[in-house]
Amino acid sequence: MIMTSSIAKKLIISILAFSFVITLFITGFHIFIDYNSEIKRVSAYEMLIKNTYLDSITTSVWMYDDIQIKLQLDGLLNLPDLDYLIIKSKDGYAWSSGEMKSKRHLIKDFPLIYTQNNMSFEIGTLKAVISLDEIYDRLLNSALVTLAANSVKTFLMAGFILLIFNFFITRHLHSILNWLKNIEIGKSFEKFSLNRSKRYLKSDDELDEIVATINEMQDKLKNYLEIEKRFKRLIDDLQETFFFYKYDNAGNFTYISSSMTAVLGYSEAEIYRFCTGYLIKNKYSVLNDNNRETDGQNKKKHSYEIEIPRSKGTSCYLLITETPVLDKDGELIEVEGLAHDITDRKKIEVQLRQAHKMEAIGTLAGGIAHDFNNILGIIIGYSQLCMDNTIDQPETYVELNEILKAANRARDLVKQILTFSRQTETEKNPININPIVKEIIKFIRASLPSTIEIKSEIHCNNDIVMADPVKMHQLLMNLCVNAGHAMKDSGGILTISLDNIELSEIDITNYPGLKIGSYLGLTVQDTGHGIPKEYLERIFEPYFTTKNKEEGTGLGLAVVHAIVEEHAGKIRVYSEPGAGTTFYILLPLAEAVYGENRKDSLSPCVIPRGNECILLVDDEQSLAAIMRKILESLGYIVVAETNPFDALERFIMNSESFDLLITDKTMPGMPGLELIKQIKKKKKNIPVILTTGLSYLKNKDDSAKGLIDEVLIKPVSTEILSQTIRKILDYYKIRKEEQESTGSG
Amino acid sequence: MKEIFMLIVCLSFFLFPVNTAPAFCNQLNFNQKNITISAIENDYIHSLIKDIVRTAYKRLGIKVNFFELPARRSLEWANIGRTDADLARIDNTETKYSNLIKIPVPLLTIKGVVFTKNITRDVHKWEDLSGLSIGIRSGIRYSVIRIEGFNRIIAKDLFHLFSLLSRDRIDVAVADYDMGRYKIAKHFHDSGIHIIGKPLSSRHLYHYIHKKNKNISKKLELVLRDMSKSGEMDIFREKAAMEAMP
Repeated sequence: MIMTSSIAKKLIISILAFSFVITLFITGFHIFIDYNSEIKRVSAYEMLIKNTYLDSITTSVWMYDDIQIKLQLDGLLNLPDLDYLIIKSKDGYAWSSGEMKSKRHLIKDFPLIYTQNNMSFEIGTLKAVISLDEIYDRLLNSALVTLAANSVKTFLMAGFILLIFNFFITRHLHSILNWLKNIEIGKSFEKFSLNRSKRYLKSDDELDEIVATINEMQDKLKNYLEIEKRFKRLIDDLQETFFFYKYDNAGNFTYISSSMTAVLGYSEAEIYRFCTGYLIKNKYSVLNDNNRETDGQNKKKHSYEIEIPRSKGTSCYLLITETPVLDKDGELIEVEGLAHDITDRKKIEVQLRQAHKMEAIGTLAGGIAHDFNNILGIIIGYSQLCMDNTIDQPETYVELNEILKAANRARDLVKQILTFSRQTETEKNPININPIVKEIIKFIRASLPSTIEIKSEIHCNNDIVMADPVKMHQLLMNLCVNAGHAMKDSGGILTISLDNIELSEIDITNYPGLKIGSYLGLTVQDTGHGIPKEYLERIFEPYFTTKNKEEGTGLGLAVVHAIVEEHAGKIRVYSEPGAGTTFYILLPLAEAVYGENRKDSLSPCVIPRGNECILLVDDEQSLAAIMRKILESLGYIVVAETNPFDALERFIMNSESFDLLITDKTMPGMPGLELIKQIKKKKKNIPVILTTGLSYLKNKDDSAKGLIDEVLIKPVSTEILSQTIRKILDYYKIRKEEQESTGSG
Repeated sequence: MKEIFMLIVCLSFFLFPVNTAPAFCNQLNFNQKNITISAIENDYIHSLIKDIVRTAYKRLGIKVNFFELPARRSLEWANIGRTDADLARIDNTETKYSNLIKIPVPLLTIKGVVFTKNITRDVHKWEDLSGLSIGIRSGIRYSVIRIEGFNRIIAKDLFHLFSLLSRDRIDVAVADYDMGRYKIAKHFHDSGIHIIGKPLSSRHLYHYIHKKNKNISKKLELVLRDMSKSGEMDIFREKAAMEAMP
């Protein structure tokens, strides 16, 4: 374990290397000292020879005393390390002793100078060869011993240091390493500690600081992980519409968030190539110099919108925000991009524009509807009166009937405009759709040619929806009329079906805006000429029509779309040219059956009559006149006024004479509601019918205050008018009788 | 005619002895003014010869300086030309010292005799010394050569030699007859050292010059030969011997 530690290895190698170098240095120094000592010792021979031997040898040589020379040389040779001696005389003689055995030696020359009679003669040279072999051997042995001793000492010291290092550091480092290796990000962290005895430690040391730092780092990591988790959650929440990407200054993508592949429908491999084509090679890319706005060293974010195709053929809109990342020299390193899928926003923008257009139309329509309805009311009223008077004149009667039909169509047209522009009152109640379907089939069958077969397929158990029956009528009528037009030349089959549909979480992705739950599926299908593909997206636009001017106004499907949206439903259209068109409508089923509140479709057409006195107020003189005539024809006594102030004055003068007030809502000088308030001050319990050319949703407060009993939208048919008057008057009569009986009792 | 010529020469020689040498030298174009002759230091024999040689050179117009050295060194230096000549050596010295030219006029005859203190052996030849410890003087070539293989001790000089003998360090000492007698008379007259047997050798001594001085060899030979014939040499030797004797 000790030797597997890299630090231990490095430590022991370092110690050994350093010790080896030191040992070498010390040994070298030691040898150097020994060598000098030996050299000094050898040098001492020089002095010895000079002082002791040289004179006698010189004398012997002077005298050519071979024996003496031999004796002297042999004697000299007894000195340690003296290997070889040779005397060479100037006259060519030589005497030697010993032999040159050594490989390494030191040669000393001694000139032999003989002095006689104050004259010196150099008679030769004594050459002493001092063997250094033994000296070197001694030095070598000494070096080896020193090295060996130091090596042993070094190894022992290194081993000891290693053990100490292992005890104090390495084993703890292993513990730290193992612990760090076993950390699993995301799992719960445990406090880390080292197994070490504190008796050796008087205070905290570096390892304690490491442990403390690790634990501190753990805490920070834990916090960072929490932050990352939060961030991931945030990203996950955003990932349906937000994507992140990065690419370098050469346009190579380095990161694209995975959500982008899912949304665009490309594989991991394709998405990079695809993005290069659409995000880098487009003219808005930040890589294009023209799009790089600089603010000194900082480059500004660059945003643009781009439409890019999905893999399935559809396209989506992305709002790209690219941020250039610059180096210290201001050069572009990479680009960080944030893409926001704004496809839905784009659709909403289209819808918003459409809504604004509709609002403008509505405002316009609302503005003219009042006056137009008054005009229609006059036409319809007089037509009906004339028809009543010309029953015995068939031709005139028929012609008046045509006038009445045209006026009714005009009234319906105004109603459609008001419906589409949401200017009409929508009163939703739980209603059964099946009877309306049957009624519509019955009604439409008469108006369609015999070449068109009408089928109904009712597969639902529950057909109750919260809806306005009039608008449901309108919806079905519009769709069926359109289907009839599509098949009028070739004939075909018109199928109206009802189904119960359960929308799951997956299903609602196809119907944005709808909620999970039970729906009624209403299908109107024809086998006509179908709708060209290029028109499909525009069929719900108002005034978009492919029909002749006489056949359509371009408002039918727009009204249908508006009604469906108003009832929190969805409409889809499927069409193939030559094969027919299917309109599929989902309407949410009512959560409960409101038995009492459930309204059936229209009641049978009955015209009740009466003889009560009615105060009729309408600023439109003609309308006031015709309504007066209609009401008088129904038996009522009518006081008609076109000025609300005159009407109020007249009522104050004879308040007890009037049984009912019918007043227009919008009048110059005094609005209808103000007139009602004033009249109610005089006679609190007088019933009131408010007529209006615009839609007027009965105010709860108004009802609570008892101001208005019913609202009628002009033009009002005789049937509706008579039924409404009768219903109110009868109600008040019963209530009065009850009050009187209660009061007398 | 011939006799007349010889007479004139002889007369000239005798009548103008001092002046002949320079004239002779000049005739020979001899330009040496000084010459150094190595001689054995403290050597009795050489002291007997010095005046002879000095006189001979003088007659050649050359002034002689004697440089006293140990016996062998004297010879060696003469051979290597460090001195110009060796005063006197035995015959055949030139065979070993090839740079030396012998002037073939014997200057002196030395007799090698055996001195002893206690030995009573009758000695006639070198082999009779067998078994004895023999002392000889360093540099005396004939004795060194002849006793090779014997038990010998070489003394640095004659005094040393006789000192060894007087202290019984050696049995016998081989030395020149004249010189030995001189030394004993001077330093060891009470030591009991005496001569036994007959001379072991008798050798002439010759003057040797270095070959660089070859040009004077013939003239020197003539002068020396003349001195020998005239008995002048004997006069110089006897005079020297007389002066040397204690």
